[in-house]
Amino acid sequence: MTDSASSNSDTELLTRLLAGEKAAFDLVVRRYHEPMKRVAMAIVGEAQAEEAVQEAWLTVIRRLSTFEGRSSLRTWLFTVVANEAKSRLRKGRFSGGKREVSIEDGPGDGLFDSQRWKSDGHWAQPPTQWHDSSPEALLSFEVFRKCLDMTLAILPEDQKAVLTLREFQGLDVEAICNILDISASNMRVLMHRARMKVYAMVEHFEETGKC
Amino acid sequence: MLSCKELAHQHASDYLDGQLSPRTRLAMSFHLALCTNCRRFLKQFRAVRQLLQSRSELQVDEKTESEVQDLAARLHDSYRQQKNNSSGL
Repeated sequence: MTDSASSNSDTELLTRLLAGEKAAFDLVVRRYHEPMKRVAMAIVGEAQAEEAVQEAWLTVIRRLSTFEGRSSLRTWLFTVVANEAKSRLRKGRFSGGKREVSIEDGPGDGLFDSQRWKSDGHWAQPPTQWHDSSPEALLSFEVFRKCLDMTLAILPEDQKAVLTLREFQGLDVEAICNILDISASNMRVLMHRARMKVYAMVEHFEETGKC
Repeated sequence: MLSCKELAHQHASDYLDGQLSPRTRLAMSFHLALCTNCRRFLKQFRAVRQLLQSRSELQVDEKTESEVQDLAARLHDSYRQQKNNSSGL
């Protein structure tokens, strides 16, 4: 879904929500619950994420009729859940439950390996030529789809959150940084590392046909 | 002179996202004109980005159909109740 397309459909969805249409509540949960959970997990960790999202939904319902539409519906939803998660994080800090959004997650993929590079920064093991790199062709293989899903599933939560908000939800950099409370450079590093891990997975799949 | 490692690790994503400074973009263009390996890497890195964009959502932790419907029904009820309260019904 493009940014403008999702904004348009969100405008319509908001109107239906305000009118109290039951199907609209079904749609908003279906569309945003999991992405909201991604955001919560990146901030407060998996154990408290579902509770944070549930609490965020209640806040959304309480404030829905006064939502002024200064941001898009989805940016507002992500902001509400991020605030709820941050509030839980602050409470957790007092009891020793601190968790920072961090880029220090360790490389964990072949392109970061030192043997890949010569000391002068040139390729020691150059990238192999992929047989077929179109998304449609790769995703047509069931084994590849499973492999991709598995790779995405084990990314650190902060990388998943950035991927979700940027690549899947199409939010701009400023909105993502505000929601996750990270700098633009931090966001770019998280995004780059996630892409590099997927690159390494695709490269391995192209070479071996296996995950 | 930009190294291959710097190109791959520090600038590739910013290049694809249009976030590079004009100076770094120029340095990358020079490097890419001379380096087959980095051209290949960048072409395939771009394909990874397209791949991720075409995968519309992370396919994990999906709520079940009944969980979605239950949560949606609870939210709908809360909203209706709130509206009724505010209108004095």
